[in-house]
Amino acid sequence: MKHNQFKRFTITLLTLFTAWLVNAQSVTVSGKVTDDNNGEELIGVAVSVVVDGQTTGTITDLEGNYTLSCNIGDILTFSSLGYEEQKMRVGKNPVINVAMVSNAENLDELIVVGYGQQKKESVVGAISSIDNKPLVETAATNITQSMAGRLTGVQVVQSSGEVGNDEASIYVRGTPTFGNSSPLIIVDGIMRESFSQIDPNEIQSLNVLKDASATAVYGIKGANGVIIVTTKRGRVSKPKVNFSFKTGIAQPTRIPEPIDAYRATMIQNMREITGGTYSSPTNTSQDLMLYRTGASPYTHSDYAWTDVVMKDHSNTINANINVSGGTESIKYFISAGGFNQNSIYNYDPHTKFTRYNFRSNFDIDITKDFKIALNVGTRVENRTRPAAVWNNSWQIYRGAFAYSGREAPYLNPDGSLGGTASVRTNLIGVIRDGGHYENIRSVLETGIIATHNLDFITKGLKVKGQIAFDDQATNETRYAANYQVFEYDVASNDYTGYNEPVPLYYTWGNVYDTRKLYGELSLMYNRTFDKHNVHGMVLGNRDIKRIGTNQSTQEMPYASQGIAARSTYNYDSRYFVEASLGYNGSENFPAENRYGFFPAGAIGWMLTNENFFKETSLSNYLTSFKVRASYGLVGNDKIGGERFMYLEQYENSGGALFGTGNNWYGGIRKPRIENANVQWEVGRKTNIGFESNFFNGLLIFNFDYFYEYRDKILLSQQNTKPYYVGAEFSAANVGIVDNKGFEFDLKHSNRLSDDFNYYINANFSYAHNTVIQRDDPALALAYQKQAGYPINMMKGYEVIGVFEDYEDIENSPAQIAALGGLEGNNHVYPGDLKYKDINGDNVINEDDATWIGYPSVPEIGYGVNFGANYKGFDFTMLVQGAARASFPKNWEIQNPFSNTQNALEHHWNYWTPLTAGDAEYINRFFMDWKNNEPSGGRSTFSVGSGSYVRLKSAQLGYTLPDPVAQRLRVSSVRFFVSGLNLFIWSEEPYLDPDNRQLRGGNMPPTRNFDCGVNIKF
Amino acid sequence: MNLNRIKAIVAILTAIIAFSACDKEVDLSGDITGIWQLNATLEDGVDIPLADSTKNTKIIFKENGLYQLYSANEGITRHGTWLFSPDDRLDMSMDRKNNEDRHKFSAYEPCPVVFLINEVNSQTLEIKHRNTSDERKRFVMFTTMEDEQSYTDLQAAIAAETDIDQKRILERQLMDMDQKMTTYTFTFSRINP
Repeated sequence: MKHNQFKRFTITLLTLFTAWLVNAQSVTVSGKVTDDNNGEELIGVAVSVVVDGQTTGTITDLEGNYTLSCNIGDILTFSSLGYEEQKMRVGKNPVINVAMVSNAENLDELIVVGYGQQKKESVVGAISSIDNKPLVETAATNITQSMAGRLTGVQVVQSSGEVGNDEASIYVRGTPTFGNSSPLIIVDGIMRESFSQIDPNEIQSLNVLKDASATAVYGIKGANGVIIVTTKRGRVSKPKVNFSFKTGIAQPTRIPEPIDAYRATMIQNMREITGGTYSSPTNTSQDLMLYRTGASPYTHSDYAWTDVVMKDHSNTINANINVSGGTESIKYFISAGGFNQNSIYNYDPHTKFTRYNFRSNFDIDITKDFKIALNVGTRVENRTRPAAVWNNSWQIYRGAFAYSGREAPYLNPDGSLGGTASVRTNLIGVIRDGGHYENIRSVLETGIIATHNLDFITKGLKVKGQIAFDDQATNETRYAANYQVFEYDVASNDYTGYNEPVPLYYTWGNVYDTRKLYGELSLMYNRTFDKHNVHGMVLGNRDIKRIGTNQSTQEMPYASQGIAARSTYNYDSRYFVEASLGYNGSENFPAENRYGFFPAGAIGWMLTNENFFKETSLSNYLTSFKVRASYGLVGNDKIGGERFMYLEQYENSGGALFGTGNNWYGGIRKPRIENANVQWEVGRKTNIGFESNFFNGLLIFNFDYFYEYRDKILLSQQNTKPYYVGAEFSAANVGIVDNKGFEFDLKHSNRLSDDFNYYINANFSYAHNTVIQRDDPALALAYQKQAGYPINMMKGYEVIGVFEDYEDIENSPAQIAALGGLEGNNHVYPGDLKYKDINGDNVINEDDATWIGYPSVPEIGYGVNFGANYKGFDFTMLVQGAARASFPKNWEIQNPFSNTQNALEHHWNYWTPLTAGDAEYINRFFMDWKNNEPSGGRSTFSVGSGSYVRLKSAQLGYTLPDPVAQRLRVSSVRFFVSGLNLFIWSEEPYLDPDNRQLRGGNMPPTRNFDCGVNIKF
Repeated sequence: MNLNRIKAIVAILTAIIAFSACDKEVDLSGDITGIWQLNATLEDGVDIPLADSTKNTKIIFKENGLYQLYSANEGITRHGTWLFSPDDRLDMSMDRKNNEDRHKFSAYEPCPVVFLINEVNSQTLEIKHRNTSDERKRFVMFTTMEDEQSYTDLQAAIAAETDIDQKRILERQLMDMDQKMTTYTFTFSRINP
């Protein structure tokens, strides 16, 4: 009996112990799943686990939370469309939070295309895309600056960093036309003038359409490429509030450095003495000694205006709050933001740029078949500046390095503005006392989109209608004042005033109002039959724009209308065919040429979806490979500011004397001979490319080659107009240009552990255009005709060195064109520029001018973007560069004492026989810059290089741990610091190489530093 | 050839190689301010003996960037400015004859002249300048420089020549003399700091 009791006790004990062991391993795991990119909760993520041989699981709820019972040691699998699958081992910690990384090559991802969306897999056109993350995270004051180096086939040139006027120019695959090569801008499906002042926090994605198959639907407007901006929309979720705030500084990247007074005086004397015609120098020994010692600061002042009027930086503040969310019936996105930047100048109470943005996007499902979208975007831009620089701050900025600090003190002992009888401009007076200008622009962009499923007719059919109304009102006012300057007499302690002081008065004001009404109706069909996927779209649209000035004057309206259609077909996601067309017209062309027909076609083949490929060993590492090709016609209707070129036009002008008296009678005249056949430019575009994905997104490589033949380019015909024709010709469609190149991007991303992941993206673009035909004079020398050279090159002389001595001059071709056309080299001296004898006739004259340098838009662009996340830290960096670009340098920025009494630092290192090897400038500074170069033309000496490499941006962020955020009752808090244009390496040593202003007078792009916080609720 | 001879040849060759491999270093250890007396002048490395009238030429470099030059062969003191750049460059404003024809000048005007410093230490200052002969003669470059006898003889021959072609040949010779590029070196010894 006792034995049996012991046995039962032991078994019971063992059973209890086993049960205890089993129960100890079971655990209920919970956590939150978020998007690694932006920290947002991910809804509907599948969380699965295999327990006792059975797969069980759940999905995340509206807040991204999940709960699942499993055992310690089990592997949880997290999977969701568009994200890389993740596996997490269950440990003792019952909370497992996961940040899922986007799968860059999700072929089911939708890509915005012209008038619609397509699955990435089925896209056979050349399209580049970025999401909003780089737009928001970059310390840019303008969205366009954030695009540089991130998109293949897109060149961004920012030629000005002026407060409120720092928008960059964007080129898609170079410049294939003499005319306007700016791309078409689409914001939320509507053609708009600009997107640069949209708050980046409002933007979901930015897509650039590059080839004919992508842009043909835009007909006469799509030739230069299309930028499609899509703003954010709500999703089914609880309300999510995002707040971001950043403050920072913006510094000019490079400012020309004026020379000090003593050295400027020294080389001024030398310039005057060696000026070719003998001239006594302005400055005496006494002057030199006073500048050298600084003994008389009021008669011989020494300062740099750049030090006086330019601050180290301006300040910026940027804030945005947005809320999004929704139900199955109504989804919304609402955003409000503001930006402010103050002046970069000292003594400046005026300059400021303030912008307020507001956007609301609603998606309403009236019924399950009928949906309405309401889009409202509005902003107010307020720019104020000193009155003298109402258009741009060129006068101040250029004056800061061009005006001399030797001529008068900037302030007198009593604080009055310094000046003399001959020096009456004082930059402090210009900035502070000369009045102010204000420009307030209000922009309203609205759209209503209604979509109705027509499944009752046939499955997959849908009709869509859209109406958009835009209104842009600009109110500008200018008030001027005249300030006095005073010359201080040290001996008598007296002041003599110059300039009649005039108090502030109204000078002029303008009101501009632009209103645009757009309507669109489309029929769409999208259906899958077994392995056949069919999509079709037919669309008709019309828009009309009216511009009013000063509330009365109205220009003739601008109108266009047309039809677009696209059909795509793919078989089993292996073979893709697409046909598209645009047929539209503009009021700017004569009736017989008003409409153009632009067809395009594209094919694609997804090799990796072939069964035979899946059986090869290659399929183990080549996840997807698609090759595609397209060809089509596109048009460009941006023919410049002149309208109705095909109409005869007359103006009140001129007149004649009639009769015996001195009686003048006015008349009318024809300002130009009309072009009755004017039409748009036509581009024939070919594109061949492939997209490849290795090791399930570990490495992605895409490549495109393109060629475009563009003809009927409008040109002025000035070069071929006979001199005896006493009238002007309208432009004619006589230009032909071809443009070819290639681009590729390489992407790699990886997650090395639960805490660390990184990515590297690199892109490279090359676009080279060649003029095939333009209005070159028939008898022009072959190498002087532009045919055969790129657009926007400069014509001039090629400098091959400087003359070392008179023997060198004697043995060189005669520079007849130098110094007023004197014979031989009688007035050529050692240290003068030596030019290449292009035609070998031993004479340097106009026949030796040829095309020099590179075009103004870089032919090469590239970027390398690196990012990493480790625990709560995130880091991104972009290195961006450009090459094969040139820009002219002239006047103050190139030559000392050119329209100014100043010189720059590098002018001091002029050529002498002894220092020739290190010289940065020539030795003879002439009154007229033309005398430095023959025939008043240009040479490679005054051509700057637009090649550079920039550390374009960098950002370091830290996100607080979730428990800390939860204690703060927020979803996440992220702190960051970022920078833009941090370093630049360029061949051009003195200017920012993007600065395209001939005299260097544009405020250069800025180097920005920001710090801020993002909070999500 | 015996071993000792071989050793001697190797030693000589080594010395030659070592000597030619060494660049002469520029000694800029000194301060240019102070009083200096002109010691010697060279033209393209050839010593040009100082005339008695120039031997007492002195220059004072002041700390404030001014200098005083006692031009011994003129018997007057000239004033000017100087600036020393970090790359061993010395800029001075010097008086230059103010007429395109230097023989017809009526006054002097200040003009910058660039020197490179070969050496400056507690005792010696050596600077050099390179220019055409004509330009050198325009400047009071520590001393005035007069035309050589051959130059004045050629001028006289030109004046006397009646044949136009021959005259042009002589004028060309005169121009070549004016345009000859020469390196002028000036050596000073410090009198006191």
